Amino acid sequence: MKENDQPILSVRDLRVSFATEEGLVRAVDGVSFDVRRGQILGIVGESGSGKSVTNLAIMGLIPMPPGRIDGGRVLFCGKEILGVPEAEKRKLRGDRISMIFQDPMTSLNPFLRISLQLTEVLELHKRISRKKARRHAIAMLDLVGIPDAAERIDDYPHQFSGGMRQRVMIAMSLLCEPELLIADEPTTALDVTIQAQILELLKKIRDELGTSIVFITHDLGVVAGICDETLVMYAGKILEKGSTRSLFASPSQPYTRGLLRSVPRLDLGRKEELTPIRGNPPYLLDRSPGCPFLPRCDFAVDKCGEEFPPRRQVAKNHDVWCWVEMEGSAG
Amino acid sequence: MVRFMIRRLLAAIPVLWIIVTATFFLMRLAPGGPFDKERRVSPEVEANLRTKYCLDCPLWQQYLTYLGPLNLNPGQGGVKAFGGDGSRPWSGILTGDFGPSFKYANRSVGSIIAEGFPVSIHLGGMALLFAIIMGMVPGLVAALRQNTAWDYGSMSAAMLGVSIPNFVLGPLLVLVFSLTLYWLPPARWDGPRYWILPTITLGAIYAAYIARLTRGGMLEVVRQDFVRTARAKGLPESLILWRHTLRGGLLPVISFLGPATARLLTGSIVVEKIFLVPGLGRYFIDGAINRDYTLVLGVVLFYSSMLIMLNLVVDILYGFLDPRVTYD
Repeated sequence: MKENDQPILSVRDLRVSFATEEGLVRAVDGVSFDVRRGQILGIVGESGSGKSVTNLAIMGLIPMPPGRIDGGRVLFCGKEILGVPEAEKRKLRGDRISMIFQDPMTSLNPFLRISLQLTEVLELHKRISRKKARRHAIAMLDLVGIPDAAERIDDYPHQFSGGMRQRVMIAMSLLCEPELLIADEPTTALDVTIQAQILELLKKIRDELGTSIVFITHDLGVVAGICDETLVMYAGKILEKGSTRSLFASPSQPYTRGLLRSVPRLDLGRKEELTPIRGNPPYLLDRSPGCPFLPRCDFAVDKCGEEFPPRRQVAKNHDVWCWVEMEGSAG
Repeated sequence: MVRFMIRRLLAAIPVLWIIVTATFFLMRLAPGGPFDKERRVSPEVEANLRTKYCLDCPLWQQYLTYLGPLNLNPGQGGVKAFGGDGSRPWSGILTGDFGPSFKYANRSVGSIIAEGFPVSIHLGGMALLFAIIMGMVPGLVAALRQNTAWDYGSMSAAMLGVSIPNFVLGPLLVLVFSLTLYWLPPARWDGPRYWILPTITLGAIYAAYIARLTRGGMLEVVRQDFVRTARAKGLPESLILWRHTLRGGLLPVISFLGPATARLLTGSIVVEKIFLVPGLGRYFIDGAINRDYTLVLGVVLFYSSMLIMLNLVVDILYGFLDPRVTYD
């Protein structure tokens, strides 16, 4: 295996739980995936599917307690980072792995000028002078498309619009030229035109800087537009995984099909009605040994309640976890 | 910013006018007068006193004279009762003269304030310092060690501190530290050893409030998304605390400190009485009891101005701490 073929990030059988008043919630339950260099990986799921917790665990940002890592491995560039001391993890965070968050309105510190919020990352990780860091920060703001970056750098977050703030967040996460960028619903709080601009920007960053990106979202349209590969998560488990093209062309899990049927599409007739997935999002407290989607599944067989299905390959680079072999496309 | 300050100071004028007017007439509504004493003075003496202090004039004349626009008998050397010496066409507080005290013969209200206030501000300042240190430090630790024994312990103590009024705490401290242990003097204001008990008595309740506000403010801020961002950037916890959370977490304390400072610097009335501290508060109480009209008016006016000024200072400080606050 060549050096370049080694995945930048490998997650193996990751399990994270939270102690709540009602009991132990298994937020992430045996998740495994790889992110290759220069790849954009999408993680799709509804609220509570464990997509954000997975990535907070990678970053080492799970609040413990109440959170707990129950097991698994996270390899970054082939090196275990899950159990390492906090001080060592801090060196990775913001430097080699960085993260942008959902709400740019609240993710920047309202009390500090963005110049300080930007340069502190560089001063910390790269040990360069504030003056040099400032020049670097202005260049980065320029790159992410903030007009008059040199003048705006001393503004406070509230002086920027939502889209501009997310650009500032992205600039901040890119300052140290990280190998991996985790974007946790970076466009959810933005309106559609701004969303498109941010997605373009992320693509540009991948193309120009070679940054690998994990893109967390609940928006399938966004996934289709930007991700090379996609994971579908439900109740802390991966139900389907594959190249975005293959996954959208032949979704092989009833849940993925349900998701695709519940989004409006331009290529279908006007008369075509959207079909919501019946039932409610999963209750994470009482866990049956079977498939978590069972109560809402239209195709369930007896076996579904007894045991979680093993991985089954449906095409090259397209795996599904389901006992039922589906036919036809999502339609 | 300058315009904001000027506007606020101009707005203070009508406020102070209403306060003076209300106090002036309320004092007169109270039964009795400055020359009613257990020991009777002869009717002639009392009549002379009343003339001297202009109490036989109609009330509106007295009011206008105190305020300034009207100067009684300017031609005949004036009436010094409410300030002014008759040489100018106006008198009273417009000239910065609070008039003579009715009770303390040959002393002006201005000189009484000038004498008492430094002591009050000394006591209040130390109590403020005590309250800030004894409030912020345990509050911060409680917030950073939430749900630990320290958290529960300090918050219980703060709850107790908030609930005990200083007229209970003061005598209690005297009973324990002066009358039982003989560690500290029970009263007077003659040196550092004398300062301790009044300072604690005055500052305790504020320390308790500040502890609770600090803890609450910090817990509010550490939950914010931008703190998670700071962690995601790999910043060490100490830097996150100093740079990212402390400022926002202390905002509630700052807004509390404005009025609290005013009350501490001016409102040590009960504590001064308990510990026989020769501050302004004692004169305030005595003035009210003796119906020393000018003294009460002067002190009220002084306290009100202080309160207004300190609130202004806090608002300006707030703007420095929170960039989202603008002065328009």
